[in-house]
Amino acid sequence: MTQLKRVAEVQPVTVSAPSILSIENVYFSVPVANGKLSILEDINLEIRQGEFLSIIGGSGCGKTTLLRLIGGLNIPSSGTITFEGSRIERPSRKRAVVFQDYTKALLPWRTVLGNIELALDTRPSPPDRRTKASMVERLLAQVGLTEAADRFPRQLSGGMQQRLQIARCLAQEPTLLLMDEPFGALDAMTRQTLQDEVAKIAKETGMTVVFITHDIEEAIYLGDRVCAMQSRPGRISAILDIDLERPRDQLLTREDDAFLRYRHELFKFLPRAH
Amino acid sequence: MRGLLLPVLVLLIWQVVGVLGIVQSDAMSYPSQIALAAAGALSDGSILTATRQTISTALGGMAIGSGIGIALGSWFGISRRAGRLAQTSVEVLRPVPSVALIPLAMLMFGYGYGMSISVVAFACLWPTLIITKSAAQQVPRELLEVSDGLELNWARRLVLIVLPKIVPNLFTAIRLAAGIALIVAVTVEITANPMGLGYALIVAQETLHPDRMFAFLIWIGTLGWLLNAGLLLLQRRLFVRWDGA
Repeated sequence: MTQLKRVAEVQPVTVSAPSILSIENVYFSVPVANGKLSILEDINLEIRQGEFLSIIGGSGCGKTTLLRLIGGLNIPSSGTITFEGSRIERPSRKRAVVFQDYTKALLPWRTVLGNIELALDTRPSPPDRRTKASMVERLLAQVGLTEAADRFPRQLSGGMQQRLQIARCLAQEPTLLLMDEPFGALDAMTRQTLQDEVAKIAKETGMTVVFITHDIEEAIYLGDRVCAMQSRPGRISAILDIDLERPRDQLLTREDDAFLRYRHELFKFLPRAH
Repeated sequence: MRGLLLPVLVLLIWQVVGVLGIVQSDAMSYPSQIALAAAGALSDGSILTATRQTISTALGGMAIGSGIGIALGSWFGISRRAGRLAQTSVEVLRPVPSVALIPLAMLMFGYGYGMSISVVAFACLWPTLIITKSAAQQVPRELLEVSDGLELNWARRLVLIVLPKIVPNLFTAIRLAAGIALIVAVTVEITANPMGLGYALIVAQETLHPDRMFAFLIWIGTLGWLLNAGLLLLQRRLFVRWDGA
């Protein structure tokens, strides 16, 4: 009961932007040998137009499942998720998913260029050759892969492969970008660079981003809001508004008192790892 | 070059044994005789005609059989439901020895290409179907979800995602089918169909021409080797970029 009260406390009273997606009373369970295993319970969440929402939780808290439900890759056992006014029943080009494991999500037989073109060529009305070329050029520049256009994914570093996946998702022209621990497999330096790039892209495009992570600092550093989840079954334990100046800075922001307070606050809502 | 030492030695001994008449047998011939018989078959054109017939049968049957195998295999691999529905039928039909279908094929098509090709196609269908199916089932979930996220219909998913992903496996399947196709084509010719290299073997045997028989036998072996080597070469050339995929 106390935790539910905390949610109420930290949730803002006024809604600053219209909602793009709303999750109402969502439960998700999977069949197991002796009945059902509950993965998510009583999830209620509004995602606002243009915001950067970080979702944080320990392993097994169902945060990836929540992202998959938003993506339409799984369907809730009960409750509804509405996106731009209609109920989510299947995946859509408007909600692009950046998978954690980029090695499995890229097409290894296509070059960087080819991987991006996949998303352009399969549009309901594909762009003509010249438009396509300029779109590809812009996307490559956006993620810093211009030099690597003709290379195959296996010839790229992990960070570059993840950049490529992001570029392909952007080529879908989504209104909602869903990122599932996208930097989990990268080294700390690459990670920081990519955090700043994603923040920049989000700002430039005005896209709404849902970003899953298990790293408190990453969640705060990137987010306009941070949603903390507890485990077994997965529930939302707190939603925190992050009021830090943008653009954020890897050194200064992380040393900011407010940043440390948020970190302190969120820490209480996360279960200890076992 | 050292690898040639043993075969050359064997040929020499074989030649000496043959010339000296140490072994007396209707099946006996020796390298120089075989070479002469081969030259004869080449000059009268019989070996070329027979080769063309056998190769057409093998390739035709292979194309039809592996085409159907790849189509069904990718369907059963992508659609779990179709795969389950087809499982029993596949398991029942697959173990039927393809040569056991020769009488049926003969009734249906009579002598000629139709009969041989249909039997070869049947033989090639199963290995390609099973390899394709299991490869299609192993396409990473992420790739299929990428295709769902791009709202691809089944045809585009097949052409843009699944088939390119499993192309190396398909090529292995085709290489396997090529070997089977040659074996079955020759078998059908030996047992039932009066055409091609298999029939030439039988004629040589029945007219007591072991030299000619050996010539055809060696040629069939060479053909099989060439077919596989050619496909391997093609595979290496074409699929460099799939490495590590």
